[in-house]
Amino acid sequence: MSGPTTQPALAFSRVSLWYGNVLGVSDISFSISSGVVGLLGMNGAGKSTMMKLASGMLRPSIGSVEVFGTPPQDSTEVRNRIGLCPDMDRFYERMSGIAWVTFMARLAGVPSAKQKAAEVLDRLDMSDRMHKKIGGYSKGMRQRTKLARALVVGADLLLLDEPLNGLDPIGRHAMIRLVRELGDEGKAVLVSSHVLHEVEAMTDRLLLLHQGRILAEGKVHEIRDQLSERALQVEVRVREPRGLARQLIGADHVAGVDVERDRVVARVADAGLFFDQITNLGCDERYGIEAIVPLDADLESVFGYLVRK
Amino acid sequence: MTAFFRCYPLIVAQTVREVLLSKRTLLFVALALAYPTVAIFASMKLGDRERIDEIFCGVTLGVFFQGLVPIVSMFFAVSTVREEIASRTLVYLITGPVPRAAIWLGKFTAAVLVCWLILGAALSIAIVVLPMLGETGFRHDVAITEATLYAPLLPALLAPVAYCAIGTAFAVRLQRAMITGAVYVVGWEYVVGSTPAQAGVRSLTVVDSARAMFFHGVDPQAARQFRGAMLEWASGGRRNMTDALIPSISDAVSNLAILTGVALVLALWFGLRRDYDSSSADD
Repeated sequence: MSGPTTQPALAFSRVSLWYGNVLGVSDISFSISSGVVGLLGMNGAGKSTMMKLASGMLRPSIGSVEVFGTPPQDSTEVRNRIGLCPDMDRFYERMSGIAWVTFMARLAGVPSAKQKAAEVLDRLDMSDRMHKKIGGYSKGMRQRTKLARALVVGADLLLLDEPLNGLDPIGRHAMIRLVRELGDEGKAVLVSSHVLHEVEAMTDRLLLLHQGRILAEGKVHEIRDQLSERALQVEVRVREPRGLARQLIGADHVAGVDVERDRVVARVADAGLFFDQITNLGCDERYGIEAIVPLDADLESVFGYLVRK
Repeated sequence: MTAFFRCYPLIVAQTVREVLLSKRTLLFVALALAYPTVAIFASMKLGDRERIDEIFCGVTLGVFFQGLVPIVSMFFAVSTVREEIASRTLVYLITGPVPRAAIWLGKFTAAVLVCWLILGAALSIAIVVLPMLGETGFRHDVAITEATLYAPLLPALLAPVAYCAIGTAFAVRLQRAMITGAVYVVGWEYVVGSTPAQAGVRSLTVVDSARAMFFHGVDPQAARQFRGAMLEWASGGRRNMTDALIPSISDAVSNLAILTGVALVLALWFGLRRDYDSSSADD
């Protein structure tokens, strides 16, 4: 995922971490230069551990974590380029949102901290509530306040741990749009989630994490292409399903066929050959092919497959 | 260093604000008010039999230096650090461009300032009210001497600094720092601090230095009985012993400086090296 000439914003090199005898993450290597990368995994997969390692909160037991070429724990300058939005939502509850974000900006040495904090909170649609105490904020407002803290320092690397948790549908939509905008602005954004469609909505670049290991990485379709040994399921909506099934079942690249009233579901071993064949059959009016729909190229089915593998 | 000097005062101010707005602080303010209350009440009750200097010295040593100062200082030093860790707000500091030294020294300084405020208020009330009792002749023949009245100021200034440094070291390193702090105050300061001076180990306590500074500060004539009792106690009852067993003011200040320095070095040693996780359980 890293560009060939630029220094990665975040680079993990053979990173493992143990919590006592429990393995947190194992032999993780990847790098991010810019844009949004989704960190996808089920609960307990190690997503938050990776966020903590990336932010310098934890040191790896083995391997190295570098942010813009420097371990984050070694340099306050480098940590100034990191904007962490952690999964927990603890604050100084007696402070107002703007006071808290201003405090964080001042710690980071941001000039005109209060003005900058107000601008960021306004961007996050918090302008009418930023003077109220954080203790009275809803979950969604707390999420946005955390994100404001990450944005106010002008971080180049944003680490967003489950940023959509607790947001209502409108808030989720706004947050997804914001994350995409940040990626478009050239910032490196690592965003974690255990909800597949959320990550899919924010980016097509993924790290799939399971039991502390990276299961796959790349774009969704690239990951799908890596699964050459896995049969792709394709639904063909057709007027004459039995006739089409007879044509398909003899081909080497078709592992199996299910026939229903108005459709055929084929388990395809070689997608290229299958689509060549189905294109030719589509020209034959005897079958009446109306639509071809890959059933399991979406992220959820890919992830489910990889986890079971 | 620029980051340190930028962050340190911000953390001090924020921590002081958080502590002063906490309801528990009110509890300790009420506890601290016990000292002037007892001092004034004892003076009024016993003023016809004892000199006011003697009463003031006894109450100040027993209630203030051996009770309030260690308890209040240890509580605020431990709680300022542990609450930041336990509430996980520490995450925002350690993952931001904040040097860890600024975090821990900021917390320590804030605890010292709060202690000075609370203990100073309690001491000030006693210092203001007690001379009034003497001047009005209310059950006292003579007013309290100035030397005795102001004798607690130096130890009241320095002892909280040492206690807060020790409390900070506990809090940075230990999860159950409040319990450890309580054990330290009772088991070390009270018990070891009460061993005969000849054993030498007493000089490793904060209370010994605070007592010594107070002892040397009071008026020798007006608080003669108190000084005599202190000498007898310090020497384990050997009346031929002199006050050589009680450290001089400069020795006491040095002792406190060493204890404070060692505790702060340990706090920074632990605090700079340790990982602070944001949760006990991973995602």
